[in-house]
Amino acid sequence: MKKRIVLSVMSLDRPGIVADIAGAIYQLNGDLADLSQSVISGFFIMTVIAQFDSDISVKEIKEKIALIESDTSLEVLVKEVDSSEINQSLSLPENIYIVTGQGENRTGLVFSMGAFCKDHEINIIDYDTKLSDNIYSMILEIDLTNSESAEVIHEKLNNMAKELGLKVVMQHKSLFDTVNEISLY
Amino acid sequence: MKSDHILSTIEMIQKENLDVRTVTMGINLLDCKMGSVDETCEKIKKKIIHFAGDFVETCNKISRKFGIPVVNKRISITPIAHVGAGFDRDGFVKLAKTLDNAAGHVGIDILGGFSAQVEKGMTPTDIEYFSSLPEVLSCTERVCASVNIGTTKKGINMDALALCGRTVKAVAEATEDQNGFGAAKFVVFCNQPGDNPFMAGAIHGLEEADTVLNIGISGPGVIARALERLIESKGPENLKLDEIAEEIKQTTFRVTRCGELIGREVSKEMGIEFGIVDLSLAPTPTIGDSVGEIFQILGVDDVGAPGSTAILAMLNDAVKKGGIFASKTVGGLSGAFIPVMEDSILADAVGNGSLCLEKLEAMTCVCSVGLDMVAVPGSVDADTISAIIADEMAIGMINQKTTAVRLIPVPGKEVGDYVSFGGLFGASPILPVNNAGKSSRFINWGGRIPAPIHSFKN
Repeated sequence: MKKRIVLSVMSLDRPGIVADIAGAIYQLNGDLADLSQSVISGFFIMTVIAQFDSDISVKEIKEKIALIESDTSLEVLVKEVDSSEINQSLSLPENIYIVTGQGENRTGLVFSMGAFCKDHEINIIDYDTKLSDNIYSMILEIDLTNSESAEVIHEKLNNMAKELGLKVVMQHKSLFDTVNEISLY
Repeated sequence: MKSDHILSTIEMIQKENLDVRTVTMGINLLDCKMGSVDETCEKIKKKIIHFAGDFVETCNKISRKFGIPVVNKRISITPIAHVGAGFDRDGFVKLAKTLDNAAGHVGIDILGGFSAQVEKGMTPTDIEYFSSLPEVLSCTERVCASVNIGTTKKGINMDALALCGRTVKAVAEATEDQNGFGAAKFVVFCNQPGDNPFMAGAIHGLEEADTVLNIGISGPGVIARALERLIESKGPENLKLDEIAEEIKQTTFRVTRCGELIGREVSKEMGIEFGIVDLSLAPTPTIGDSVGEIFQILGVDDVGAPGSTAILAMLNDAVKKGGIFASKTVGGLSGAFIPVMEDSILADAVGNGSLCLEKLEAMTCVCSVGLDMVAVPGSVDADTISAIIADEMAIGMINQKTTAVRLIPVPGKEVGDYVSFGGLFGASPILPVNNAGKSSRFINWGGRIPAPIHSFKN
């Protein structure tokens, strides 16, 4: 029986962090299943899902990672996950929309958008933001499987955006695939 | 998905006015032919309402889903002379009024296909059809007519051609109170495609299925903006024409993909076969939506200046290369349009004398369509109009391409005057016609110009 472990790593960015963490997992005979990594404003953030033999404990993994020699401070969270807790249900592609919002930078924009999605049972699959020339841009990939219809959500989103001074566009995801990819569904 | 891909797509839609220019539903009306005109009209109306009843709403719904405007929703029908075989002039007028009504009923602004195909010969029905056109185009709002009088395979029917010149004049005069606007709804073709979604020359060809959806992609504005951005970012001194052609190609790929997506979705929603995407860049009189502007960006100060034909050839080719790969099935006219009245920069070039009829004709050798929406003096005689059409037909026949003529001899107006139809049909100064009145002997021969040698490929 294998054990599923999620590792979350945060550090000031430097070359070699992926090799260090993946090396530790490898040395413990772990199988790296999924990885997501990005750098935001000079901070390295990575989440890893890996499978280990059942006799490896969370403590052993933490100790192994603690042995990594690093001139930046590696903050690592290690947690065992129960497979039954993971919601594996896949969203149907027809319910996935991309929302882009642009407006003058101010506090509370991400909160408002997050709260809107929460209130309307919209799952955010991906969220990316960018600040340039004091214009704040947000790109959200959202799943409307459990929410009201796309048209209703679009209208409500527009109303909220007006109050926030945001220009919001909501379009079906396939548009972006279609325009930017070679193959067409 | 990369966020810069998303942002660049949003920019293309919002700042560069990307849209889908037209979704055109083709409807076969051959099975509506009954013993009497009235019964036929009844069946036509029922069929159009049955298939297109929720067409406009469906297009609007899909448009909202993707955030891409679908500018025009139109219908094309089987060339009416086939549907009305055996009917007389008055019968055709009744058919036209029925079509006008049915189009209005389903919320369509233009219906094309009040047409005849007479490239080799004319039947008595075709003659009746021709005689109905002045009344049809003056008493209906939405109906557009076209005739195909030549093909590469069959040559040019010069009897029909002579009739076309007289018909253009008669239609313009029948709509004198609208500055001859009726003639803007009548197109004469060589090699007319049966799946062109653009008006006024759309028909639902005899080779087509019962119903089909054809798509016209976005206008030239998107290409113009993409080129401006490229030139600004790289600097004109660092760019060569092949890089510019590449930009046109890539932009057209994206634009065509949007058309393909909308077409597939509307087709799925309505259960109607998806036909083709037409890659034509169709300008509108709106500022920033001009093919003429692309000429200026690419380096001629006025359209019609030397170099214009070469620019158009490159543009037309790059558009095709980008579009062909983006769509499953490309068809229709697929090239750049140069409709003078519908393109404000082309109209300006007529006004300042840079663009003349002869240069326009040269340019039509390397693009789709032909002498389109050209306002000429009302005094130009029918034979001269026929002869202008003959030249254009010859270009299409010999070069195995579509050419078309849509001339408006504006009653009571001469060179120096200006005519405006408003809306999508635009406005322009009157273009001079040199050498008018010198071609009657040629037109009066009648008969046929035989098919060219390269048509014999069997």
